[in-house]
Amino acid sequence: MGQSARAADEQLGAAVLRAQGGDEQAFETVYRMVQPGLLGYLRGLVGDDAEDVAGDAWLEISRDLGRFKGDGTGFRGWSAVIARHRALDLLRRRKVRPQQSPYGSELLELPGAGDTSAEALETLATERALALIAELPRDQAEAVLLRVVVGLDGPSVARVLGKRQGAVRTAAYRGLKRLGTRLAEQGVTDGTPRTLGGAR
Amino acid sequence: MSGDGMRGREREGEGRGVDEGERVRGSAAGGAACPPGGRAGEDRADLAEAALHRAVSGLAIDPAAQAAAVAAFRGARDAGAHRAVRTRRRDDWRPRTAARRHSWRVALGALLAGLTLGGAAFAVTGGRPDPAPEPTPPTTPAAPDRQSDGGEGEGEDGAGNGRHASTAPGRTPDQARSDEALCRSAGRVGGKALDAPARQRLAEAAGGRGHVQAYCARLLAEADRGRGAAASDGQGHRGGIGPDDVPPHRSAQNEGAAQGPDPKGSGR
Repeated sequence: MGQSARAADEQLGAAVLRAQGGDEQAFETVYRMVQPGLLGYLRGLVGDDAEDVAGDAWLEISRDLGRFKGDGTGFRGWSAVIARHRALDLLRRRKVRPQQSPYGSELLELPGAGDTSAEALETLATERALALIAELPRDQAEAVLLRVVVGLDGPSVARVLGKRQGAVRTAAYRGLKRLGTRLAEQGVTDGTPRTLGGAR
Repeated sequence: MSGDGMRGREREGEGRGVDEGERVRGSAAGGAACPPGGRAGEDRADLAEAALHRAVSGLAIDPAAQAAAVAAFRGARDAGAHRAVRTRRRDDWRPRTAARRHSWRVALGALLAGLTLGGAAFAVTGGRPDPAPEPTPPTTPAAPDRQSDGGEGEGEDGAGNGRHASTAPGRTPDQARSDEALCRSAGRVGGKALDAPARQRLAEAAGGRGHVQAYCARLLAEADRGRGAAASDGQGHRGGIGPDDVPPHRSAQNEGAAQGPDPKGSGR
């Protein structure tokens, strides 16, 4: 996994370079590699507006692509900053605290195990995980999302959030632990029941 | 499966440097971030991480959204927006290395040196270029103060603006010579910048910070003219300063530098 993540970032870096040279297909590659992480990050920040915010972010990314300098991981960080600014703009406009869950409560309920197809269960788990993250304090939610979902390394997360690495590390750990506790309580795992020291 | 997520994202030894201490779960092994939860907390963090990874992989890409992004890319490219654009600081995500931090310092040093040299060049040339339009400098009130010939030297006109303020009454010849030394010190290419008290003294003598350059230009031009007769080498070099011309307070460094190129010049 470590190898493949590194390989993916190298591939992304190469695609960015070609896109900067005008290669449209390379830009599509960049989009497909970056968009899922951005979207997950934005889901946690702004909920259902994530697609719109991501669209705005990509307009800016497309326009300023020539300014970027760095490798694949750097590009993830650069684009995350752009997406973040758009998301914060939106939050400022609608004056809603981002940690409020944008999802309906039905998503937070346990799935009826057995009568749900694996696919639907996974979709549900996906939604639930992102919904739960939106309930974390904002600094924890962002640190977790940028680390795990966007795939940034520690220094990049710190740069995106404008905080010290130590603070970001602490926030990410606390957020993950709290999230894991919630997931364990709700029995949401990878589809197969999982026991965690009596946490269920 | 559950354990390979965040660690899988780490990039060891690629210049970002602090990966070891950066691992979120690494902090659970003994960092200050580790609450007394211990093993269970770590497991739950793993669980959450795995769920989030699935969450991201479950996010589908909307073809319409992708098409819009690609269209924006095409438009920007065809408009030339990707060429010849400046990389702002926030666009530079190259890994920070010691070499790059060092290069920042070097760049800063070069900038400071450039400013110093630029200021020196301006101070030296400031009195000489573009003759002022009015051809009658002697009509200015400052004219009587001048001790040398009444000629309209080339340096004279350019310095005209600063003269009212700069020729402060009560500047004795000794003081003027002291100021002159300060000016030379400030203007020497590659020389050290003046310390704050000296700069202040010079500013007071000139009648304000804004007048220092003009004041210095005039002083130096006068000094040159005065010595041009004494040291009659046609090269205009300032190496021909006689020992009695050196103000008593002039630092050895200044003197050495002034006479450096031609040590025998003082004997002429």
